[in-house]
Formats: sequence, C-alpha cells, structure tokens
Amino acid sequence: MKLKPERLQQLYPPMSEDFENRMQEMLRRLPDQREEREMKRAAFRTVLVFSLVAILLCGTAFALLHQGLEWYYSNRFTAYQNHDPEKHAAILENLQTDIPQTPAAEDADILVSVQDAAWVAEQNFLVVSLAASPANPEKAELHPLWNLDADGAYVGEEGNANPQSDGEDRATHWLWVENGKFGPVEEMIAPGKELLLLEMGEIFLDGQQLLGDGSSMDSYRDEEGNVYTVLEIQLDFMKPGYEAEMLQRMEASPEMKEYYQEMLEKNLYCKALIENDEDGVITLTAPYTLTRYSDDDTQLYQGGKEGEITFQLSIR
Amino acid sequence: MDEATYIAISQQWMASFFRTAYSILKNRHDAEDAVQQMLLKAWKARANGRAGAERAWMMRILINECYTMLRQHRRLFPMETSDILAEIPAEERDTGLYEAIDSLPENLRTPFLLKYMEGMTEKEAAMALHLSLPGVKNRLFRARKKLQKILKEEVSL
Repeated sequence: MKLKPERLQQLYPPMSEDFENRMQEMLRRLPDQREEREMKRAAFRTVLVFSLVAILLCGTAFALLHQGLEWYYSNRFTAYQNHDPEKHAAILENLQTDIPQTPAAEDADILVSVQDAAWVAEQNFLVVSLAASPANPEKAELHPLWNLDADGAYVGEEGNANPQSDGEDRATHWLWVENGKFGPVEEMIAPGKELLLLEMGEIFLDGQQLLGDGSSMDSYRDEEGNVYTVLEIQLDFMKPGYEAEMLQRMEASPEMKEYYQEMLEKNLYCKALIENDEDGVITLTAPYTLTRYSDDDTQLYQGGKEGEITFQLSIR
Repeated sequence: MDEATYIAISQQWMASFFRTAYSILKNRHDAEDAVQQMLLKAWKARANGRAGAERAWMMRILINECYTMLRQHRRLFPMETSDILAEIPAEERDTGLYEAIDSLPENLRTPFLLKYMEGMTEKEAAMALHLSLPGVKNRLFRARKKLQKILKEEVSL
C-alpha cells in the first residue's frame, strides 16, 4: 500500500472555512496589540533596572512590589476578604513594604526578593510574599516546582491521564513519564528555554524553622515570568498557654512525646528571641532550592542548588 | 522570529496545525481551541522562534497545548470514529486506513503523522515532540511495523 501525504491528509476532516477566516482575522489584528505589550514590558524593565541600581547602591536588595500581599489577598486568595474580614484587614494594616534584605550570595540564575510581609502579632501569624525572576529571561524560564504538581495527578506508565481509569495504577507521576507526553515542558511558554524550578516554603529564625499548625504556602507565576511564593506562618507558640497545651499533648500521646518535646524547645527558643528583642526587629531567613529540570526524579527532588535570602521585619 | 515570518508561517501551515491537533484531540472544536491558543502563545513568545525552525517550534507549542488539554481534561469529548469519518467527503473517505492509523498508540501515531502526513523531517519532528532524533527514528520504525501488521500488507511511504 502506497501512503502518500495527500492520502493521509484526507483521513482527517478539513479545517472549516469559518475557523480559517477567524484565525486570519486574529493574525491581522495581533500586530495592533504589540505597542501596548511593548509598553508594558518596557515599564517592567524600567522598574527592574531601578531595582538593580538600588541593589548596587545600597548593597541591600529591596523588594520589587509587583503582585504583593494586598494584590494577593484581594485577587488570588480572597477567602479572608470574603469570610474573615478581620484577618484580611489585619494583614493590610500590618503590611511592611520597604524590607531590608540581603541575598546570601549573588545568584547567577535567579533574582530573589522579599516583596512585602505582615507580622500580625495580635493574631499570632506572619505572612511573607517572595518574588523570584530568572536572571537571564532570554534563556531560562522559571516555574514553581509545585505548579508542575498542581493536581497531584499520577498516571500509569502508558501516560494515561484519565483519572477514571488509573485509580490504583498511578505508579508514575506525569512529570516523570518519559514517553514525550505529559512532561513539564507543556507548561512552558517558550519550550526552547531551559526550565528552572523553584521551591521555597520555609522561614527560619536564628536557625529554627517557624512552623505552626495551619501554616500554608502558595506559589504561582505571572505573565512576566516572575514566580511568587506567599507563606503564611502560624506563630502558635506566641499564644498564652502554648507550653501547657504542648505538655498536655505529650501526656495524651506518649509515642509522640519526643517529637513534641523537640518542637516545644525550638518554639520556646524562638519565642524568647522575639519577646526579648530590644530593637523590635527580627532577622529571618527564607531558603530556596533551584533545580534545572531533569527526567531523573532523584535529581529533580533531591538535587538542585540551594540559596537563601535574609530579611528584617519589624515586630512591634 | 519577526512578525512577518510569524504571520507567513501561521498562514502557510494553518491546515497542517489543525490536522495535527485534530489527530491528537479527535474533536474539531478542541482542535480549533488548541490551534488558536498556540497562535497566541507563539505570537507572545515569537522572539524565541529559531530562524529556520519556526514551523517545528510552533508545532511543538501546539502539541504541548494538546497534551495539556488532554491532561487537564479541558472540555474533551473525543468524537466517535464514525462521526469523524462522517465529516470527510464520502469520495475521500478511507475508513480502513483511518482505523489502522487511529489504532496506533498516540506516541507512535503523532511522529508518524508529522513525518508522513505533514512532511516534516525527522529532525523537525524531534524538535516538535521534544524527543531525541534516535527517539523519533525508533518510533517511526515501530509505527511502520505496527501499521504493516494491522494492514496485513507492505506499506510504502
């Protein structure tokens, strides 16, 4: 059997005239949007240049407030605005925007900054918005590692993404399937670029991680290619009665005693640092891991280059 | 890629983009959606289109878009084979061949169609599919073998 391209092309229905006309019209109109987009891009670059100048002049990085916490809690995560207006208002009232900060070292791959933060002492929580952008956006595209795992979807080895049929055979994460399907590249705007994956989600005070029940993390990307990470850290250990509650937990769950004991000691150490601080300013560190995409999952989840940014927050 | 090249490539290969999307998604409206999304993404990122490989680069965005739609189950209603065939003029309908090609697993079918239906070189198909050149050659070989087995006759291309 001779299979010529023309014969194969006839196997599929032709494109409709209506669709072709619509696309031709769209193509004709696209150049008109160029001016607007270029102005937006130029404005962003101008802000970036000013920020870099500020870094050079001060030796300290100051946040580029792009999609800060006010935007975040009014647009992306609106649950507090709709259902807990007191918390929403407390975040906005306690917003700190000019945050002194220093990256641990110059990173050749990404620029990281703390955009803004709110230390809400009366409700015992802290929110921080961190922004990152590729140092060389012409060659690399940055995505949150979590975005590639947004739905937690695992697929079978044949790459079947139908959740009805892959109930128990989700042995392979779609990210790891090597058959050319379902790879992370499909998430990319420009698949020819190097794919960089950013993971950040922890805040440390003097080497101790701040972590309370109900802490949360969100990470997302904007159209300009910046990746944002918003961390909400519950500071339960600042509540009166925290120590008694932990002792009670130890009694109720003796098998967890060692874990609770360790957590209690760490948290009481942090509490003492915060309460005894005379300047009303604490120094926090946000570590991150930057991974170049690899099909090797051990590299993907255990490799990567570590970095961190240190910043100061007012707590009074 | 400059604007003029983007528009020229988009117009020249529009039908090819549509056929490829249709062969993966098996639904006219989803294929139209995927092509439109690809054109918008490619326009936005046109500076990244490498000279001489623009078509493969756009095809890659399109295939990624199709896979994203499949993965996200975004409004996907693959049509029945009989409905697809009904859209083809009766005198051009080639039911046996369609069913044979349709029975190829997608990871063999798309490389096969890119090369033999759309006339891409193996290198272009590799770029469009984010595969190595040996990976594409391997799939083409397996696709041809499988097709010969299904059609029970020698296939010449």
